[in-house]
Amino acid sequence: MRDFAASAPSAFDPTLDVPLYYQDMTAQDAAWWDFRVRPLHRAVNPPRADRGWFWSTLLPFAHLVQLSKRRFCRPLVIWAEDDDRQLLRVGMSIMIEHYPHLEAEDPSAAQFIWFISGADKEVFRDTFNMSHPPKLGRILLDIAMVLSENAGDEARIGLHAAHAGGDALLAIYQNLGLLSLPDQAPMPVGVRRGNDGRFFYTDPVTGGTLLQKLDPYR
Amino acid sequence: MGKRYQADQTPATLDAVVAAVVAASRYDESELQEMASEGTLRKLFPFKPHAVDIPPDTMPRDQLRRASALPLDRNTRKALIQSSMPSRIKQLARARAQEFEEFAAEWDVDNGQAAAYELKTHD
Repeated sequence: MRDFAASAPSAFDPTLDVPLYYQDMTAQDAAWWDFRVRPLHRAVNPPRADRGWFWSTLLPFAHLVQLSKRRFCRPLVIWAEDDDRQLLRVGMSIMIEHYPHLEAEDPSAAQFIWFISGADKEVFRDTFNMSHPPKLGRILLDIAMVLSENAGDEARIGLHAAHAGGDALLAIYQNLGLLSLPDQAPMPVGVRRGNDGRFFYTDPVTGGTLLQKLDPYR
Repeated sequence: MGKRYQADQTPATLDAVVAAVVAASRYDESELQEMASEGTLRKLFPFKPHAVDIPPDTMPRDQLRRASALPLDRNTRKALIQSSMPSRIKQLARARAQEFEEFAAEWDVDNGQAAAYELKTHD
């Protein structure tokens, strides 16, 4: 079994490692993020892709919708230590287990990253007594690949980059090593929506390579 | 912090919740994600939590309940789903168990649906 990464580089000083902790998400976690973080993130420029997300609604909504599709969600919260070594929520994620793998010719299942949010480094430094918020982009993807591998899906993951994130979000996922689903590619059985060119995924080779890169941090 | 969300003014009857879930299930995940980003998801699922307590910003490390990197077992998963539901939905589900049973039955209850069905009997 592969475990989650135990640390990530500081967003302000990549030579510093910030310890990370993981907990399954509850309604209280979602409420805290909406009440304490969401208003601050909505003021960030350039605008964030998650600025309209209301986690207190998304959490029960995601569970209920996926249950009706005979799938389960796995919502997680990432915690990191603040300057007083108390734990603070720094990342939110709702994933779907055993979602159709986005490469239509491969009938396997994958972990689908539905909603992810990471702490804005300036917001968390200035408001939450955290001099070194962790850099979470790679970690949020790694969580999904770990869960996929441990569920027997060989590190296959998929996600859709929200249009609200613009071209910048596409560039982020490309730079993190994900494969871009060509916009002419057919969608897998079970996914009805057309391909808008904003889907990303990993196959077992890519996922395995990305997992190995973070193994020293587990 | 002792602060609470304002109660939602939308009457969250179980029928309304079930109808909203059925309607939302007809969309793909990327479409629902876009609706959330555009702020239009509330038209499809017009419910907000009813007076959820806001926890403190921080907690000591010894209070952390570490998440497993393995798939969850049935009981843990059920408890997690329960902990994600606003209490009002759970109360409604309990109070109107018959309707909820019919809701679950519409989809040929299997493992996933069984978990949804059991929402009515647990806090």
